[in-house]
Amino acid sequence: MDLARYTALFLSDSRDHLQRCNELLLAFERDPGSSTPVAELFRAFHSIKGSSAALGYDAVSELCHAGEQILSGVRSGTVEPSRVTIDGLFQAVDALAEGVEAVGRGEVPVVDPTLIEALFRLVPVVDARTAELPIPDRRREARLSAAVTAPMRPAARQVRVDLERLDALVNNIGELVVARNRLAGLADREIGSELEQVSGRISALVGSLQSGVLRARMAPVDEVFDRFPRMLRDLGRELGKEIRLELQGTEIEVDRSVLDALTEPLTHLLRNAADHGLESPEARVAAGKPREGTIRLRAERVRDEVTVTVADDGNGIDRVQVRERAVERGLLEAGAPVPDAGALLRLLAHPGFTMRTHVTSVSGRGVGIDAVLNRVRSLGGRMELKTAPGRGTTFLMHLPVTRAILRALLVGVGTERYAIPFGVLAEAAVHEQTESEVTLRGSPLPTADLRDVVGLPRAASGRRPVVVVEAAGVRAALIVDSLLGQQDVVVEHLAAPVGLPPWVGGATILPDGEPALILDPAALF
Amino acid sequence: MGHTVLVCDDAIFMRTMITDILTQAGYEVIGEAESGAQAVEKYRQLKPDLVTMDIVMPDMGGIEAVREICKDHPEAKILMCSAMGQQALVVEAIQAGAKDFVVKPFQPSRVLEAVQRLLG
Repeated sequence: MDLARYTALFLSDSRDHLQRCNELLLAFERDPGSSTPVAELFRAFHSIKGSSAALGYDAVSELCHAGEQILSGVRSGTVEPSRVTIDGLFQAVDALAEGVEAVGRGEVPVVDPTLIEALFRLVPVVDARTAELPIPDRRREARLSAAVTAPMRPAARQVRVDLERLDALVNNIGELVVARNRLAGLADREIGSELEQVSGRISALVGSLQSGVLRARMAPVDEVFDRFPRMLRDLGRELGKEIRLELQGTEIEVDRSVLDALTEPLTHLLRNAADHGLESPEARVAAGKPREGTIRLRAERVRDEVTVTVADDGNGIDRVQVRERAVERGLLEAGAPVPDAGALLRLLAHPGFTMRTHVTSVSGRGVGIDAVLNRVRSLGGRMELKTAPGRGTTFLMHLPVTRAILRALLVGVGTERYAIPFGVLAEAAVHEQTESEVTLRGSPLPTADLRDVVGLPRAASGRRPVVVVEAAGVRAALIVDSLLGQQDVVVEHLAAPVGLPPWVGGATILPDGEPALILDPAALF
Repeated sequence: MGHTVLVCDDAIFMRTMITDILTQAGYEVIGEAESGAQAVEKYRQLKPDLVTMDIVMPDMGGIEAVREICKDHPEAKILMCSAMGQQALVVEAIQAGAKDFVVKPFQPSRVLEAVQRLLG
């Protein structure tokens, strides 16, 4: 038997089932009288039992058998759908997930035998080890006729593709885009020629090929969101808080790699919201709020970006207190004004900055917003913070929908060229050498000269172009030597060797074959 | 020409495994079904020489599917695939018209033995 093939099938099948199991258990917990989740859970356990037994993973198969027994008992009314029962099933699903992931790592899965025993103890002795799912006779005929007359659900026309294969395609298309740009450059010298016509046609085809492949890499955010209801349920228990999680925009699609990279920061922000954001039920009632706190996780498509929002209706962040803590830590001068939203985010994102006086197991260790902000930046995104005393806190992450190909503005200093992502561009202006900083419509902007940044000698004199960028809600000005036009660039991620400056967001090959660095303006100011 | 088989199981893992066992032995798997309702539909369409039928499936379970198929085709050769501990259900399936059963996890030889016996 082709073991590798069966193992791969076992993994993908079981993971799908287990993800669904968490949703089903949550539904079951909300409405213990409903039979639909029970029947579907039974099938999931049953399916994993069969395939794990076939592969010789006896511990996993035994665990599934225990789960089946409990569900079968619930179905027949011999097992009470109590909190203990439901907790037992949650534990079974967790242990199964561990077992399945062990198989994924090439290990033989083991399951704690005391868990299996404990699960079997939930089942009355007469019922034990005779897994059956009895269907009451009077309902059978009705179900049968309903099933026969129900229209057949058309099989989903989908194929599973290894992400690596898609990545290879995207890389090839990236090269193709570069070659197309070179061809377009040549054709521009022969306006009206046949070369120009062919080049135009190729440009259009490459463009649609590019967007087609990028679309194929997209996945709905639900694939990450769907783990959070379970996580927040457990967190609520742990923290003694009542938490309702609202998911919105779960169907919004983003690039698979962006999605994968989002899991950690979202986990962090949600934990923060549950632990720091939401008050205890008693405190909420005292403040005239519902006992149950609400956390909203929402995805929204805005042009080429997706905005992912984590909002809680808790107590908000106390800016005065943040200022005090920042002064204590020497991050602010003693007389500094109360920070605005942008400054607040920068303070919170300071490595090690925490508002907690004690560390809980959930959060408050001080590693947090900085890691989130770094991740968002590395994806080419920006972050925003809104908070209102007594009303709650909202973190917004604006992220590119796709990652591999970036629309950029090319700028020059000296003989070097740099690419600035379009997503951060606000506007362009002109700078007179005599001024120390750029002033836009009367107000001065934080200003940097790209020559200083990259270590070139200062420009002699005169007027130079300025690129105004907006990152994390803050506008800043970058003085360059020349604006060279817009370009689709293929982002090559640089393995960060020690000493790579933080403002390097990646690298790309320009149409003429020369390399250029992609700037991360957020790291410049 | 080899005999034709319809494989019914909601788990792709099991379908793949049964299909492999049968194909390697020279049988032709002409269809797969993921639910009882699909099994009934595909049986009518494909008229296979043999059906392998899982018991626990969504929409309509395997036993109901057997009953439904045998209503019009009492001669249908259906082999039940049951998990351990489903003896009572196997008895019910046989009463409904299934001709034999194998127990998961499968021994390929046991599956082929049952199939050969059924197809005579």
